[in-house]
Amino acid sequence: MTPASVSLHRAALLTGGLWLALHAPLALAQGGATPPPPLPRAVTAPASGVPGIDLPPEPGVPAPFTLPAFEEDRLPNGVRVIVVPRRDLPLVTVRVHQRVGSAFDPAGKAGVAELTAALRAKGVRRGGREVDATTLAREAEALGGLLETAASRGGLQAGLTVATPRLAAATALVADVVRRPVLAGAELERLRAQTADGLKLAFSDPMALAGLVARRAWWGTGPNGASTTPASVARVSLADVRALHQRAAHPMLTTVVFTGDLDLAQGRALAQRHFGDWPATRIALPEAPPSPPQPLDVPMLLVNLPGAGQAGVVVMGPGVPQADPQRRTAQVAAGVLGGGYSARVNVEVRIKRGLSYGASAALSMAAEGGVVAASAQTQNATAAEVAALMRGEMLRLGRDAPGPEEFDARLATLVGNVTRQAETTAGLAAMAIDTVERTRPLADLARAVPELRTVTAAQVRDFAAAAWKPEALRIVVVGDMKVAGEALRAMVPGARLIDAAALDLAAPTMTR
Amino acid sequence: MTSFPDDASRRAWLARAARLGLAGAAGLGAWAGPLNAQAAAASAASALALKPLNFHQRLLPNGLQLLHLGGGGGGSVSVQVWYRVGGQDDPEGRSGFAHLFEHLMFKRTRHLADEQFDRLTEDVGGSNNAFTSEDATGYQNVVPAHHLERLLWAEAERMSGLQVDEANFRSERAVVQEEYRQRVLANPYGLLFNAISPNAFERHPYRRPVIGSIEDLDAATVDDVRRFHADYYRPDNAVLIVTGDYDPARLDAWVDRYFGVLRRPATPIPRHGLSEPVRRASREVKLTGPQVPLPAVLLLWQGPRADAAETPAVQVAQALLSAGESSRLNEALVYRQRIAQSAGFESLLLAEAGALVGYAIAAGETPPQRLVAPLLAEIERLARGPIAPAELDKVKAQLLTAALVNRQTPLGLGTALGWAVIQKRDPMAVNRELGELQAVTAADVQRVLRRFVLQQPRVTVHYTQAAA
Repeated sequence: MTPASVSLHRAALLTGGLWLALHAPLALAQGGATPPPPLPRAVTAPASGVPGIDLPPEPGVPAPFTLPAFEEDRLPNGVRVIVVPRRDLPLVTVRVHQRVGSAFDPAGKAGVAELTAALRAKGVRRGGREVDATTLAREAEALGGLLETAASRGGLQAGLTVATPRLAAATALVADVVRRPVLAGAELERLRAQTADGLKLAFSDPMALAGLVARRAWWGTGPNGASTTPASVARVSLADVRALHQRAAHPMLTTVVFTGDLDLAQGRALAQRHFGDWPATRIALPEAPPSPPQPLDVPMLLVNLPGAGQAGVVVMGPGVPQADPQRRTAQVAAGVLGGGYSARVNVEVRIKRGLSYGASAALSMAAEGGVVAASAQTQNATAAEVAALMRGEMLRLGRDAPGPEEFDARLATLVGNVTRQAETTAGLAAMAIDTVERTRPLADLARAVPELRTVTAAQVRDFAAAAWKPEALRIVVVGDMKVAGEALRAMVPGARLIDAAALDLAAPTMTR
Repeated sequence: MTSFPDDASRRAWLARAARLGLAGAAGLGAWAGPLNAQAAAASAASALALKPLNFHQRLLPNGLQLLHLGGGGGGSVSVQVWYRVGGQDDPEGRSGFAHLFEHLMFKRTRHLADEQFDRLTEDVGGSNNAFTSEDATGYQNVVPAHHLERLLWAEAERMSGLQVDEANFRSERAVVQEEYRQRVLANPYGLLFNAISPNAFERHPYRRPVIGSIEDLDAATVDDVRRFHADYYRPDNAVLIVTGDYDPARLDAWVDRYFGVLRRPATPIPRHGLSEPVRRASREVKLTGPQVPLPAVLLLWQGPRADAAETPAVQVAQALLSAGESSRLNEALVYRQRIAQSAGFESLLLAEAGALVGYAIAAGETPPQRLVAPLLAEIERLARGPIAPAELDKVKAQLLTAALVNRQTPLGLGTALGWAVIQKRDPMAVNRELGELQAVTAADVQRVLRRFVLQQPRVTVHYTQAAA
């Protein structure tokens, strides 16, 4: 779940230096659902007129969208190979995924998977010699790409995007990271310190912190609710990292994805060259402990961050598990609520009232459940108003089904998000890996759009009415509570207040 | 120039480099069959090259510049209008105005309702966005190919018929002020970021941050909006860029129909005429914020403007210092010495003046003063010490790959063309820049660092937590 990533739709201000933003040491976009959107609001343009003069010209004839072909094969040892050919530019993304991720982080040690993914890129054995972190980075960057590693709940990843002539070398490098990492103690110590520093930045940013707290407030103490913190990182030992790496080190758990300028035969040959000699092992597929939603026992959690320049506001309601028959309905519902610029929460919060630069909503799904989270940044003094507006929109969707124009618009936005993701090699790779993580066939990808089109406005309303009852919603606000607190407490009785300085996301009470 | 302050990684500069429209000369690097790692590592960046972008251009009688280029992902087309107006054109006492104005372009026109651009783009499965930089304001739409004509009509409509009422003006101004709070006040490093412009420039209007200030935004009026539109939103101050999936003949006819009728005003386009003097003295600035998790330092020098002959060498120097994990500043300050959480070097390549920015955010308890000497030492080592050919090849490969990544989408192709026009005043620059970067030598890098950085006057900004 990423309530922190409020989409700053429109009006990006271009002006020197983004570098000042938090440098996340583990960078690789998680594949998966981007949230969608909808719109009500009567358009007040003249209803009559001449298209092309005082009305927009009529659209032409649409061309049907077809997703590129997702092809696959398996090496004799069990390594799965997925190739999505796109031959118009000499560019390829290679990404390796192993199906053991942060779901296996031991309690209190959130960050084992994250640190494992990162540490594997901090030194490897290549052709019998040991290559240190700096040299490895230099070799990756000499290929033109940036070696990216990531851990998600469902897996460890490593990969990069390079020009076609560099693909073979890039694949060799990624194979070394995955199969022959050194996993040195000194490097782990360095990564822990860097991660802790990076987290200090997130913990000072009201929206970023609200995202972490909201996840914990919805999913509780299980892996789905866990976030890496300075305290949890300090508890991660080299033995933890080595154990997770060993657990992932099986051909049967490994998928190699190539997207871009190659075909299946070429991808298979490359995978065979670099992964084919990995001995097959018979193992039971590891089962992660379940992590069902455990929404907070109070309706509202306030985190006091003195001096915060704004408040980060998150309002959450139930979603559905990722295999649930209603998942498409939930996706469209999240879209109608806050998937796009003209979606309901942004209309109320930004367009009508100017209370925020942007309000949006996103659906996150796991095997055990899901959550729809609406979020926005606003002045501390207007945090309660924004929370009330977003909560009001969640409840209203259960009463007011989207009208035909609104419904079509939000559906089109959802479909457009899919088609644009398919325009880049990295986007295609993320789509493929998303199916791997969800243990769904690749054919699912082509079904997404037709399935979305079967959802009806009434189904969306009924879903919202059943799922988003007042008692099922949870609100998290991080901000300067000297300014924001009183109105928030008046809005919802029974709110709990925690000082950011006393926050401990891993503790049962969330305080230390 | 510039980037999105919200972006979260040190790879950001790569995105920027790509936006500069890096393009190449020679033939397409085709599938070369499996290479082994050693061979690939040994072969130089010269093995990689990009095809030139064979775009078409036309100047309409009313002064509108049209650029178009087929390609990109199938089925969608990007329609962009870039106006040669930006933060530097904010009226006196109205900092932030060009950007506020950009927001208002999504409100109504004679024949479009408020936010109807969203109906025409996002609501049919496309997207729209806009940005304001110091030098330009860009409106960037992507739509399914069969919606092209509608977007051309709509862009011509808001170029000529914008209507702003008091209610719309006030609500959108509140949004922009919230944007200011989000970027400058809520982000722990927003205040530091906002200190770059006023400390990098002293007389040129670049000294005012593009986001402006709450007070100046409060002072703006609807009359200012009308005047600004009349002054700058006109065909002879705009570039229309169409990329992706379209039929060139129909495009030409539609452009003539919808844009050809717009009048070029008889009045000249107002320009401020101010230039930046040569800096004579160094100075130090102490800045504090209410939530500064780790102290930071900025070093600011004067740099070349975007179209200067030195620019490619500056870009290569920047990449050597801060592109990727293996870059010199990351390797030295973050990895080896462990005194910085992040460190980098950026060039602000603006159309009328430039600045070079070295920065570091401290690791752990490192005081910001202790970051200055190591930052300078690495820059000096690059300026005076050896630069291995392999290291130069590495950054050239990075720059080329970034350009290639950006060319995957109609949006990226159009953006590359737009920056070439704004920064180099010539769209053909898009097909020269990568060649110029590939030609940069170690001696070129050292010459520009000696000229702009070593022993040159510098502004140093220390950023720390305010006392409680």
